Amino acid sequence: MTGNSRACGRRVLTVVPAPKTRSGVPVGLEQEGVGSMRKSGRRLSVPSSTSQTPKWRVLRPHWTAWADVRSVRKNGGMAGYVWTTGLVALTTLLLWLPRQLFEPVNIALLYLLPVLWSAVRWGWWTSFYAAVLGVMAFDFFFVPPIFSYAVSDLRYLLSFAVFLIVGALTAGLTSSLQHQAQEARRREAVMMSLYDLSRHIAAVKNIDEVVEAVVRHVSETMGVAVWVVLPDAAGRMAPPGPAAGGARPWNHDVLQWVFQHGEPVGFGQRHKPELLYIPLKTVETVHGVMCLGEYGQGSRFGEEQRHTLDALAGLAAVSVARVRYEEAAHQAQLMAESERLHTALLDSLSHELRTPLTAVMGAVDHLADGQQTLSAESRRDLLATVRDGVMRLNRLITNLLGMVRLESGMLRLNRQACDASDLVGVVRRQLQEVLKNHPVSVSIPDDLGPVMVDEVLFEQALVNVVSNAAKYSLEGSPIEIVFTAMAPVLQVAVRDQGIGINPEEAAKLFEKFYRSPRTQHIPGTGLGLAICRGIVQAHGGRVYAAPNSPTGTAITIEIPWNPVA
Amino acid sequence: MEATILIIDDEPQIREMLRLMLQDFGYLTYGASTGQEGLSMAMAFHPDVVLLDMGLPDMTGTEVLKHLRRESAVPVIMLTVHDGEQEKVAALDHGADDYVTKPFGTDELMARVRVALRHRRELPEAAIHAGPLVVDLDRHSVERHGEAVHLTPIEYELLRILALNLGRVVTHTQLLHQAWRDASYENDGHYLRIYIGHLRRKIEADPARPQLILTEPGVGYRLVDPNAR
Repeated sequence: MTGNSRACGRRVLTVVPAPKTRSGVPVGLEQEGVGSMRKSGRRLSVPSSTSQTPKWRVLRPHWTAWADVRSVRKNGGMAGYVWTTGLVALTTLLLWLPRQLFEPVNIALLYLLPVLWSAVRWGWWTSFYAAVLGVMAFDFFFVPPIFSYAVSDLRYLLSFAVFLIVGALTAGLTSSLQHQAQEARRREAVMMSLYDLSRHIAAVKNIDEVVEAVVRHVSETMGVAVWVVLPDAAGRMAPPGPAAGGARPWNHDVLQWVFQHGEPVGFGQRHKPELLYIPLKTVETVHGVMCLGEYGQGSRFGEEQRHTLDALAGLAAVSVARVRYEEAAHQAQLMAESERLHTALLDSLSHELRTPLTAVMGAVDHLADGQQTLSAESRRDLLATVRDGVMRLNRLITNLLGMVRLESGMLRLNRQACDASDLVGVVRRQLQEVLKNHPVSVSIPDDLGPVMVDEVLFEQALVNVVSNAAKYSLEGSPIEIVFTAMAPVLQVAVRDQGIGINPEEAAKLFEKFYRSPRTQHIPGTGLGLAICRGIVQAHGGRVYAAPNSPTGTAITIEIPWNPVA
Repeated sequence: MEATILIIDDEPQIREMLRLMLQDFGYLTYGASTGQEGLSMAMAFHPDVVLLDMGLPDMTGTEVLKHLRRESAVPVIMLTVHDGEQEKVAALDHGADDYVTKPFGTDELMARVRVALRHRRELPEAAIHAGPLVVDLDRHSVERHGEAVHLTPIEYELLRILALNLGRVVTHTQLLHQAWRDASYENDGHYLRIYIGHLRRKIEADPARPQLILTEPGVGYRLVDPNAR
């Protein structure tokens, strides 16, 4: 076999059938000829075999093209010839009885019937065979002298020639028409299949969903097991785990080879592979490999299926590429966004960090310098300045860290059944300094059951909203915290009677570093509500602001919630 | 005899600050900058309280705690950072007594240290006082402002556990295990919250703003004596 395949000059992937797994699966492979793919320590000897022995083969395009041509001249196999022989025999029998009634020329014409019939059913070769057989039967049974191939009238020879030519032409035309009709049907099937698939994956944004749609569609269309394997970040093909891959053993080397070379590979008999590894290939890039069939399932992929599969693989490749490019574009957009944010962050930080630091440094220096001269009162004031500055720094750092944690995607919710009044109680205790000059009213439905939230994070979201309410309203003005259960959501509204918001500002409030122009005189980073939104979104909810009536702001947190039965 | 406190923290600034603060309050302090050093000093000096930073360079706080607990029952107060609730709970369930979150104020730290020292020295009293509340462990009775409070057995059990740890945080898991024995937090956490809610309605002046049973978010509960501050 080794010499044989070299002589063909064709790349053949062969496997050793000897070391088999329990399901009879070849474990290794070797490629011969051009571009040898030799794995260190995995080069395997190749036993002599025929073209019918199952093995891995590269399915070259020219091979397919040749097969295509051949299929035009296809024959119907032995069955076709047997049927044709029978038909000619039947015609002979039917004509034999009333032979006196017909002129030999009429009889010759009637012999065209089996020729036509076999052209339609079994193609050109069978049809030509029918013509030859017909001529022979005609000569033997009907041309004097009967029961002999001898011909008394030499003009019959001309008739034979004309008959053969007519037969051959008829056969050719008919079978080519037949082939065209088949081709049209096949194309229609491919088109339908492609159309169906493209409809399914047109709107899909996510690579996993594309793969899922392709797998589902192809396995439904083909009725075989299908896997799509995409490379990992390092370009390694990692077959799905046992759970996803079923009982199927994977041939990693072949998979990797197909991915690297972008050529389809089949396992099994030459023209009817049992397994197919088809690359998902756009013009210059291979995006993954589609694997079809299972060992020992007896599935065979014929020409037509292969055409359909090639088209489907092409479409799948384009879709995968599209999603990949979209992802890349999205990444680029995120990068730009994050760059803009970094600039804003730096500006905001340098101001927000330095302000309290300046106050602290000044106060501390002053305390140190004037140890003897300072009155007890000024010393107390300076210490209060230090304490305020430090607290402000602490709040800022907590907020910044919170934002980083939210944005890093490292946030993991620790949802627990929480008690709403307990949540509010903790918030009020944390904010007791801020809220000491604001009467707070809390309204929670008596029958409100447990609320499934991450206790710590949800409290932080509430703290940020409530402290904002206090910060942007006059001392002594009331703050309302109202829980409203409206399955499937729970609303937590925090209403103040403070300076309020413009309706056009409502959405911007939750953006990072956004500060209303009207509140520039109140220190803040514009992070509190952004963090609140991040936390609420992580809970699958939303948060929005609206003017409160008659004055002030109402900020409403809405999270998914269902009453416990 | 003045109490000794071992400070295990890798930041010299923090150690220095704690040393000054604690000495001012009349405690004797030792400092260690790594977990290993801290462990050997704990063995050598038998401190009354250990302040343990959770972010040491050589071993995690929980590891230090595990080693320490093999040899000693000394009260350990962890110095943690914000957002480390899981870590806090893990350390508390591994035998730490309490925690303070950096940055912390003097009041808070001193309150924790005092509670830790009291629990080290005193045997549980027959009656535990927390503000207007008196929990009589011998008679299984609870009084508030001198009036008897009627509790269900589970409520009493929860209050008893909290009272035995007066001033100290008790994690959800600890409460569940001690009150229910075979409970798992995943299934029964909500019941715990419901019972604590009931308990608060019976013993707090304003259950919406509890002053006695405080919630430590994501960690557990703490019964405090409002007059002790």
